[in-house]
Amino acid sequence: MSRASSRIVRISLRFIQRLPGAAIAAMLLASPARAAIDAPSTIAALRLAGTVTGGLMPPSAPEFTQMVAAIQGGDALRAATIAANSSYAARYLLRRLAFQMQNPGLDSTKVTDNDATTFLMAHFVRAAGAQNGISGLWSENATYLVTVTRNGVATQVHGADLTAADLVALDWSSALVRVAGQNAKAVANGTATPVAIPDKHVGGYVTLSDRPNDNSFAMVGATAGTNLRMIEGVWTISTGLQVLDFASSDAAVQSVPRFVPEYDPNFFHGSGQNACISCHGGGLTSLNHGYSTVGDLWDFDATNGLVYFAAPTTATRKSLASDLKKRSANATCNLTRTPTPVCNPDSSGTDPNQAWDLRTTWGSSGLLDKLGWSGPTNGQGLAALGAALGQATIVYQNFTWRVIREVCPTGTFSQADIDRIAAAGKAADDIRVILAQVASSSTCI
Amino acid sequence: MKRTSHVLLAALVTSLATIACAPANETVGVGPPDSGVPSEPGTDLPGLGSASAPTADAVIGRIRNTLTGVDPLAGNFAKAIAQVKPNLPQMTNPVQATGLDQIPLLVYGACTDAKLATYGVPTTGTITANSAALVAAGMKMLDAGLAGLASQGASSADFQAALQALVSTLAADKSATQTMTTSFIAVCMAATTAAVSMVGY
Repeated sequence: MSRASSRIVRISLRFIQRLPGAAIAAMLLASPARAAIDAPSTIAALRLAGTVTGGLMPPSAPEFTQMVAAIQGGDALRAATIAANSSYAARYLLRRLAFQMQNPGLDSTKVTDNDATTFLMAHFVRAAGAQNGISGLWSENATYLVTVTRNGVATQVHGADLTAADLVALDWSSALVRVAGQNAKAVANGTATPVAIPDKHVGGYVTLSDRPNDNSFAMVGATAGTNLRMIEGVWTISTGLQVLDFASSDAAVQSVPRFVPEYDPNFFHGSGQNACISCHGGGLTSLNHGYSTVGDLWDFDATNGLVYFAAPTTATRKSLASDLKKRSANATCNLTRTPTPVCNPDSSGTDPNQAWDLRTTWGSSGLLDKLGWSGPTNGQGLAALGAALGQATIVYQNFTWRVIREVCPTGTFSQADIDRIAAAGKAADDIRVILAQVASSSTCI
Repeated sequence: MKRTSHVLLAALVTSLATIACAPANETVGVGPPDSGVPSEPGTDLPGLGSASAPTADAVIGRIRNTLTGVDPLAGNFAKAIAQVKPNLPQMTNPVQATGLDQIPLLVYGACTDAKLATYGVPTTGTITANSAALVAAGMKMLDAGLAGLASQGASSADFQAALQALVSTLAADKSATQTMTTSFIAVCMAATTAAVSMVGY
């Protein structure tokens, strides 16, 4: 920046520093009688548009005029609903929420547009024949492409193919196209081929990725390791709870995956840490609590992206070990061998039918009640687990909290407020209902 | 409207730390001495609403709405976004957000892309002679971002006076000769940064 430019900046900033203190105060305290426009209603609409759409909604938009009119009529909820249903909210806040759901830290900056993003967006804006809203996020068997114009021709592309220019003009509510089914790669003899994921193993956005390095949830959850990240992410991101919130040491050793060493001194009783069995047997990564639905079926690598194992072998089963060279020894788990394999000889191993039973441990601990679990408590496969998860009250409470953190981060909401808004969102199966209710809350505007 | 308190103003101008406003930090989220865990910010202000900071995407969108003829995908605006975006706020919680101070840098990039002619500002002549056009340009920018409140609200005269003061300062600048272009950029920066900060808070 040149010296002259620097001076411009300094002078301008001095002005800016003076302006809000005087003019903004005057504006906000404005007497409507002196104003040519309805200043309080316009300010309120600006505020709602600013929080719900990030300010992407221009005052010249028809929706903004409608919002002002709604506020003039005393209906802040209607104004917030207009904002929440607008393309601007989709482009800003809903996409931001979709990005956040693709890593455990809810960090939107680490995520890019991909098939998981388009799936989440379709459910957030109830677009393109999405069969449901929030309730189907972890179970619907569909892929959503995006219609864009390339060289003058309408073309359907994957989320990861969207350009910056596409995104500027994109209307998420009309551009999404539902394609039934989801695909991954099957790898045989070093050759990867596309394969349809069976209905039973589809996890909604969780199992959507069409390419390597797409920053999707699948990439975060299934890269290397043992797929513990995958099931942990399903639970923690959907509920807002932390790993230890699910833990219970009142678990059977048979429920612990094969790769966890039973002979470790911390296995049954933690010393300076939680006992291994409390998470691996009684918590999120118990074989019974969903790990069997993902443990041996998925991998993600930088060459093929998401890989699905229709017929897992000892060499491919990540539930045996993250290191594929140790999977055979852990499958046998003969503790008399040297070196001693790192394994749990009493493990039942992942269920070949991908069964899950949440009553185990979580029924007696009261966790299911805390989750507001109203769906089936046992079943087979990730899709059934995801469908049941989509009915849990805590999912809607968590979305309410997340929206509050975005729209109204220093507002004051009671648990009764949260429950009321979450219930409305669940009844409508629509995150935009949650968004509008939060934004129009008296503590927020 | 309940949102006319000094606390609101303090939250509104979080990014402009030198503003002399009511001391928000003295009233927000401070518990009595030795009272254990301090309360969450804002929890002791029932009915006063919530403050929030604009995230990077929000800032870019607001600039785009405020300025005519700027493109986040082209020109200096695009270059500035590439440089500055990672430093802009990534979260809306004003207690935790950082990077609001980067907004003027991004605005500067956008303002260098804006055309004087678009705002009816001559490229030649003295600043003094064209001060009305410069002030009008600033008002137009503020109006675009603030739904006409700058010119049609009760504080119109305040906005005009503040912009006029800026233009007069530029005209009287003895240390560096200001041109119409640099003066326009200065007005643009002041108006746009203010508008960006005032849309939702």
